Order: sequence, then C-alpha cells, then structure tokens
Amino acid sequence: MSAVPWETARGRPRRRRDWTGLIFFTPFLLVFVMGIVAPLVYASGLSLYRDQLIGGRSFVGLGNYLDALTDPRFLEGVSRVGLFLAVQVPVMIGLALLAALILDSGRIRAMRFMRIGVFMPYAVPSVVAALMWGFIYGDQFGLVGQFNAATGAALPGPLTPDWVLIAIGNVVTWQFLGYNMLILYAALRSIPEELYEAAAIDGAGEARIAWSVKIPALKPALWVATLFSIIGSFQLFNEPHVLQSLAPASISTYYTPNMYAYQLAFNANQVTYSAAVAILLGAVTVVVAYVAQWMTARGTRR
Amino acid sequence: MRSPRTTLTAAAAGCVLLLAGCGSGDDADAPAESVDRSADIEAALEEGGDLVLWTWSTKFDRAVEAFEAEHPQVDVEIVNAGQSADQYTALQNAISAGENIPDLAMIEYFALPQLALSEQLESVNDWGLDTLEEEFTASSWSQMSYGGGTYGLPNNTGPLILVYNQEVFDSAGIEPPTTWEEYAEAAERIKEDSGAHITSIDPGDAGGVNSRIWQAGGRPYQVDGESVAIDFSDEGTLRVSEYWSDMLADDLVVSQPGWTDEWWRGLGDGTLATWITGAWALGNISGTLTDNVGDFRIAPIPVWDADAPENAENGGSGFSVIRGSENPALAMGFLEWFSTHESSLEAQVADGNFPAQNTTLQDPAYLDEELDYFGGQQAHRVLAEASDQVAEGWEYLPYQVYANSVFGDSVGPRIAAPGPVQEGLEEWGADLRSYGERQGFDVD
Amino acid sequence: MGLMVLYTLLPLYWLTVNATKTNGDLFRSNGLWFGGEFALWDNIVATVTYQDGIYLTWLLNTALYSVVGAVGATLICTFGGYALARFDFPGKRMARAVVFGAITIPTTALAVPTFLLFAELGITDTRAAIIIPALVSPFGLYLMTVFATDAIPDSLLEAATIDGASAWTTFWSVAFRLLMPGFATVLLFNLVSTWNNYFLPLIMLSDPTLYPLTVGLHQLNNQVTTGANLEPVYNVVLTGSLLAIVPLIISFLFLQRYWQSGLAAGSVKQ
Repeated sequence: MSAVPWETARGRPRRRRDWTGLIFFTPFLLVFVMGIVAPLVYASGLSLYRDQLIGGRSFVGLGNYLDALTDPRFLEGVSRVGLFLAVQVPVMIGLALLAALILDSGRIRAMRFMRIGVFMPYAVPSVVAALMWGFIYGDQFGLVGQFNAATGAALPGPLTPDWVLIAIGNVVTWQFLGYNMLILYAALRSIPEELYEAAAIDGAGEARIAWSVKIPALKPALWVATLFSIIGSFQLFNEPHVLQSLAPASISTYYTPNMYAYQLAFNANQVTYSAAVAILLGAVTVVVAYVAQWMTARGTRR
Repeated sequence: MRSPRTTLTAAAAGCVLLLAGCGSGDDADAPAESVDRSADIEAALEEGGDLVLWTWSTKFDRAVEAFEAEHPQVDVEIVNAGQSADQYTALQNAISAGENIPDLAMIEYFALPQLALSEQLESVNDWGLDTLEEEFTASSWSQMSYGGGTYGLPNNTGPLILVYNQEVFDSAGIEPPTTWEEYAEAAERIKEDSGAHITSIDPGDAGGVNSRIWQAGGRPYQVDGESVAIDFSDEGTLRVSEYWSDMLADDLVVSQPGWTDEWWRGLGDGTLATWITGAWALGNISGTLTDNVGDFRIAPIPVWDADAPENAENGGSGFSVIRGSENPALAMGFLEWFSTHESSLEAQVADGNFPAQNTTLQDPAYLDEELDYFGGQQAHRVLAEASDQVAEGWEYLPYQVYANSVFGDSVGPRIAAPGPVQEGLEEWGADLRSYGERQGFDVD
Repeated sequence: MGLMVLYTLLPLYWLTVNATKTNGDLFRSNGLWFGGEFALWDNIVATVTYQDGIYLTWLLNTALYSVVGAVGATLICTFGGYALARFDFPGKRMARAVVFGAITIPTTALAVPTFLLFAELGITDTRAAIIIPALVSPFGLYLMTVFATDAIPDSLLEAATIDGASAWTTFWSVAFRLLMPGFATVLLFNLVSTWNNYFLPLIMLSDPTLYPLTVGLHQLNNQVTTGANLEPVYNVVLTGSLLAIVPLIISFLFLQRYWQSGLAAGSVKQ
C-alpha cells in the first residue's frame, strides 16, 4: 500500500491551499450528504424509537440495538452471510485467479472469446440471473430434473434447505467470476517484464513463475476483488429474495440480514427496528472490511 | 381530517420531526352514527373525474370498461402495484408519503383487519352503502367488516373445492372422495396405480392451511378490540395438523410451492391428481393449462363429518376506498356500481371471477352453465353450494399480513422436510404472540 | 478454461433457447433445445405489447435511471477526483477520509435509511428517489482520484495556468481529455450498478409506470408464480429477461478497450 494516490499529492509544497479544489469537490459533497450522510443520520435518529400498531411511537434509546444484538434472527442472518463469504468468496476468487493465470499464459486458443464469454454474466442483472437459475434449478422439470431423468442420477434439489445456500453461492459466483478474472488479468498484464526475465534467468518454470512472481504481484488486485466480494456478501438480498417464491421453506424471511431489514420495514411494521438492523449491518460490514484490510496489510509487511 | 394518520411504518417516520401533528385526536372515529352521504355520491358521479384503482388481477378490466361506458365523464385507471403483500406495502408507502394514493384498491379478506386498524380504508357506513349488506353472502360481508365498521364491499370469495384429474381417477378406479378419510384412501389407490401424488402442499402458503383449519372447526385467532388470542391447539387445528403430517409422512402428498412452472406442469400431466383450492381457481386453471381441456372436474371439498358438512374460505377479496383519496364520493359511486350492477357482475363472471353477490349465485343462467373446459360440467353449481356451507365465526388477526409472511419460517420447514406440522404451528403461534405483544396488543 | 466458459454461457444459452418457445412448449420440451415452434418474434411482440406496453416503459425507465444516474455520478466523481488529486483545499484530509471510508458501506444497507428519509421528505415514488442515490459513488471517486493522480502531468496544468486559463477552462481543455479512459471505466461501473439496481427501486416505488426492468420483471414473475393472471406469461418473463441483458452486453462489447485498460489502472494502483 505504498503508492496510495492521495499521499502522492502531499509533499508538493508549491500547491497553494485555496478554494478552487473545493468548488470541484462540492457536487460530490452535495450528493454524498444527500445520499449517504443524511439517510444515515435520519435513520440513526429513528432507530431510537419504537413503533406499535397499538400505542404509536415511543422513545426507547438504544433499546432496538440491544434487541438486535440478542435477536436470534438477526444473528442467524449475520452468521449465514459470514459462512457464505468464508466459502463462496475464496472459491470464486480462486477460480477467477486460475482463469486469469490461464489467460495470461497465452497458451489457449480463442483468448478473446474466452475472456468475453466468462465476463458476460456480469452484464446480467442479479434479478434476471436469479430468475433464470431458478428455472434451471427445478428438480422436476428444470435442467436438474431433466438431467436426473435422463441419466438416472439423483442430484439433490438445489432449492432444498440443505443446498439452497450453495445454490445461491453458485448464482453469485456465476455472475462475478468474470469480473474478478478481468481485474486480476488486468493486474497480471501490468507486471513489469523485468520480473519475468529475472525469473527466467533463474530457470523457473511456468508454475513456479506463477507462484513466486505473479501471485505476489497480484496482491493489491486480489485485495480489491476480495474487498468487494466481502461487501457483496453482506449485502446479499436480490438472489435469495427472488428465489424465495420457489423455496419458501428453505429461504426464511430473515435468511440474510438485508432480507430481515426488508421484512421488518415492509411486512412487520417495525421501521425503526429495521433502521437499527440496517445500521448495525453497515457497521459489521465496515468492521469486517477493515479487519480484512489490516490482516492483508500485516501479511504484506511480513 | 382525511389526512392519513396511520401509525404504520414510515408514516410514523414523520412523527419524529412533526411530533405535534401525530397521534392527536380521534376525529376519524367520531361519527358513531352513519351519515348518509349518498347524495354526495350522486353528485360526484354526475360531475365525473378521474379514479385510480389498484388490483393485480386481470379479471376486472371489462367490468371497469363497462362502468366507463355508462359513465363517460369518469375515467378509471387500473394500476398493478404488486401482488398481495407487495401491494399492501406499496399502499402503506403511498399513504405515508402522501403521494400517488389510489382511490380504490382490491383488499384480500385476511388483510382487511390490519388495514382497517391502521386507518387506511374508508368505512362504507359513512356513505350509506352499508344498506347493501343483503346483496352479498354473509361470510363475505363479515370479512369486510372490522370493529363495527364495514371497510369496502365484498367482491369474490373462495369456498373450498376439489379440482381433480378425471383420467387419473378413472385409471385408479375411484370416485371423488366426499370425506377426508376417503380422500386418504383415494391417495393410496392413486399412488399404487400411477405413482402420482394426490396433491401438493405449499410450504409458503398460510392461506391454504388457515382455510383447512377453518373447515375442520378450528378457530385459532380470536380478536376483541385490542386483545388477541392465538391458540393452535384446539381440536379442529389438531385434526388438520395430524392428518396432513400423516399424509406427508406416508408420501401421499408432496411438499411443493404452488403456482410455479414446476407445479403447473405437475397438475397438467397428472402427477398431482387433485388441487384443494378456492372457487376462484376455475379461471386460473382453465387460463393456464390451456392444453388440458376436458381433463379436470370440480367436486365438493371432502368434509370431516358427512352428516354436518362444513366449508371454509381460501382467499377472496373485496374492494375498498382508500383514506386519502381525493374524491372519495366518486370512488364510493364507482364501488357501488362495480359491486352491484348487473353489467359489471356479468363482465366479472365472464372473466372467471367467483362472485360474492347473491344475485349471481342464485341466477339459474349462471348455475346451469356447462363449462367446456370441465367436460361440460355445471361446475358453478358445485361452487355455489360450497359457498352456502361456509362455517361462521372465523376471524383473522389484525396483523395477518405479517402472520402470513412468516408462515414459511416456522411451519414451512415442517411441511418441506416432513416433521410434525403441529410443532410448526406452535412455533408460528409463539412468533405471532410475541409479535402481538411487541405491537402493543393484549395477547392471551 | 473451456469448462468455465461452458459454465458461464450455458445459462445464457438456456435463456436464449427458451425465449423462443411458446408457453405450451415451455411446459413440454427439453430445456436445452428448441421447442416445436420458433416463437421468438411472437414472444418479443407479446413482451413489448403486454399490458399496453409496460415493458417498454420499464426499459425506458431503466435507460433513464442508468444514463442520468451513471453519467451524472461519473461527472461528479470526475470533478471530485480531480479536486482530490490536483488541489489542496480546506477540509480535504477529512473529506478524503470520510468518503473513502464510505466505500465499505453496503449500498443496500443504505436503502432502508434512504427510503425513510425520502418518505419524510415526500419524494418516494418519484424518479428523483431513484436517481439521487445513484449519483453517489464513493468507489468511483476513489478510481477517479487514482486516474487523476496518474494521468495528468503537473507540467501541463502549470502551462495552462501560466497561460492565464481559469481552473474551469483548464479542467475541460486539458484534464478532462486525459481523464477520458478513467471516465469510461467509472461510467461502466456506474452503468452496471444502476442498470442492475433492484433493492432501492423495489422499496421506493409503488407506481408500476416508474419501475425499472428489474423490479418489473420480478413482479411479473411473481404474478406468474402466484397465479393472479388468467393467462400465464412465462414467455414474457423469459423474453423480457433476455431483452434486458442485450443492451448491456452490446455496450460492453463496444467499450471493451476502455474497461480493460480502466480495470488495470483501478486495480493495480493501490
């Protein structure tokens, strides 16, 4: 993390402090306040109250937060996305890394086609992706069912309670594999030629170069990809929400923290509690992201 | 006066900043005696204007066109704001934002108490429309009523019926079962004969289970003002949960979400031999499985006691005028015509609606109609009889929308991976009790 | 690698094949091969004429939200990134820390708070309710800061300043052109995220004529799966899904060289 961009701007004393920059920065500041700061402040205020169908609204201080921290549904959702990110993110990033290394080795035909082909699902809105996979997952007449019928195999229904998290992980992996592959591939392309030459002189083989030259050089890019995948995992909503109508017994109303926040606000008349859950979820994400960053930074230094 | 003072969701959000304007006064509850404002309605209809009507069903397009033909000065726009719970959410949001509030909306009976309690609906009593009570079936009228007011007019009902696949029954050599005991026997015969399941249960559908409990005499929800009692251990409920637990355990019925691509295929190809559903289903099945003309018949729902047959309702809805409508008089005028006028009812029935109106239910032309899709059967007779046998005394919770939304969390898994359904019901009940307490109800 | 391509393309192939089937064939035929009738054109017609052309309304809404939201957000990020990289101004350090910290705030965790605020302001169920949140992109700002730091040599700016050009003129005449590749990259990111936006419009909108495609398609699908309609519209859902993907894929293919170079810059310059 040596060349953090804003730090390069320092140490150029000739630059005067003036207001010009602020003018350029103002539009962002405005939308930032309107789109992020104000909602968070307002929701924080709301989260200190409690709504009731009978009795209306009353001030409860941090009551909603205390409730949420002991609410088994919220905790279950958080640990589920925790599990999800612990499994799905490494699998996806690993596959993406593999694909990027293969592309970079230049040993396959139709490179361009492969690259675009793997990247294509990124253009598919997650709602559409989930709808589509929902059809495919059908264990009677969907592709899974047809496969079973044709081969006599007994693949389990992907939407049964035991498998549904994996089924969701598959949809997410499918969508973002190519995106992560391209980030890593782009980073590989920018590794200075000298590093390879040095390795070649040392007589290192292809695999060895990949392991000891390429992967270390990829650290920053791997970190970007991982960070976004972590944030994405905590946000998990669209896919389970869309699949819920196909698997009501497998995907509960509190399956992920975001689904729980949605359920609370829009089906359970608990807007203020929902605000507390949303804020807690944001806080958890930020903390996990920073912990991950800290661990990476420490790992790099060693 | 007509400002929506709902305590629900985001409306309440406004209260933080506008504390002074919230929760004050009971002005809307003030008119204890119904004021006859039918003169206002007449005037509004003559003057005309624009109305917005929310419904997700397409069965009402032609009735609305008929209304507009007769009232050229009124323009009614039908808007699909989402299905069931989605629509109620959208309604709440619109009311709380004070924008794009529809004048009328289709409201399912189970949702009515919740919306009435949170003051989202106009009472028809205030407009003299409560005199129309005799036009509708008793059960539907009582389901549009809550706490002494009637919040709209009934439109359609869903007395339970049995849709069955004639070919599958013939092949197994059985007649439509008349009791649940016979139904279980039929299930075994069908299983032996073709390997088909007699039916499926949707692990996400609270309405289906509620109606079965209702039919068996269970009354798990009791409401009295702000007190509610929830008890899933009465005799009727136990009967239902044991029966279906056994059927699931014996693999005579299968757990499957309804209305999906997969499920329709099963019904179409006979791997699901029957469908336990509401009377509104005729239009849905004939419209969806268009290749199956002549394959299905309608039978009365099996009963628990052949000597005292009782039925119940699965679904059904009415139309209500929404608080915050800019022209409630005109909306009431539309509602009355739409719900009672002959040309409106004809158009609705032609589009597959099963009416809550007595005139249609007693109309010989309606009853005698032979439906080609059902092999020329006079299926409407079965429906009308079913409607007659609906048992009284059923109530929904004043937060049934929430209740139904979490059915899949607790009961669903017990249906999907067969376990004791009763256990799921108990857990559901516990959830509903603690939710009720949190919402300020007296929970028993 | 071949397997991976198979994995990513098979579902898209499935969607394409099934968008050519009639409802009847959908229920009968093999999922991986064409049905008896080739009904793609009929399905497209059915899709765009369904409920008086509501699909086209959704498509236009999506286009509007994406274009206004993404172009607006990208411009705002460009200004902001330029400011952070090239100027020193009061409060800059703090602004930087706060904004980059905000990258990790999940946008969907913001959706409910934003809805609550907008309900208070009475602007839910409007186009602005979708566009305003789409204008904020902390990650886009971060990327633009990286680009602006790298892509613009100080000497050029100094030359322009010596010529007496105002900061505004300098930005457009010198800096913006150099920032074009970065602009295209951030634009693509923002385009994808607004085009795919679902949670926010789902809770913000109740008027179906304001829906974007994602919400509209899901509602349509729900209707199919809950049987509220007399006629089943699986064909409309499938064809609608296919049509929803096409514009993005085309823009990806066209802007290929931009996003490829942009991704490189964004990921390695940490």
